Amino acid sequence: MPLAPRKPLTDFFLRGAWVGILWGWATLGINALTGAFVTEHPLASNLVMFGAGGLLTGMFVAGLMGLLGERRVYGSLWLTALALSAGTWLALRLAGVALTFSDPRRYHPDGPQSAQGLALALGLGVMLAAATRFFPPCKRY
Amino acid sequence: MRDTPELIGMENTVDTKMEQIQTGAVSLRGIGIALLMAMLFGGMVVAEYGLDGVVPGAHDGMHDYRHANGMPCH
Repeated sequence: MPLAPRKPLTDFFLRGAWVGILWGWATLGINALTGAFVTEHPLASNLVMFGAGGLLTGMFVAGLMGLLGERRVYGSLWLTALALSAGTWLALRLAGVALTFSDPRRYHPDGPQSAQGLALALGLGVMLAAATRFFPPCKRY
Repeated sequence: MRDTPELIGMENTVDTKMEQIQTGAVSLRGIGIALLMAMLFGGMVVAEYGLDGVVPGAHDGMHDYRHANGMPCH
């Protein structure tokens, strides 16, 4: 029985890491443009924190893409990346709704920020799909 | 040289051992991947909800990131 190929999944995680960091920084820039939330921390601190958040999210979604392998939504890499990215955000957001129910005063929802979050999640999906499309696994090995 | 029954038996044993090693390697890799995914998901949850109880300073540190991504906050 042959071993499963090792490098492609590693590739997905690595790709998710750098795409995630770029996405995190893009999130910071887009948020500044839309003004959905006026940031409270200095830019240097936010660059680190948004980069770290993007790293985690990017690696997680890319890892899911790698684990799915060739099983794709309607056979499309783009739809799969969008579905996984938006699905991950939606799952976290739904858990946030539970927090809102438990403590509405502290965890109050914000429409524009939520819309921006969903749009950014879709943006992460596009970025991951584009990176996978143009930097396919094992191409350089 | 023709393969004697002993040699054929030895080949089978080697094949079985290789299969066990390979199966074991896949399982260990699977556990590693599962652990990594669980850690990444845990990190995301800590970041998105600012769970200070898990990582002190997470709430304040990731505050702007949380709002920018539309997660409920104070």
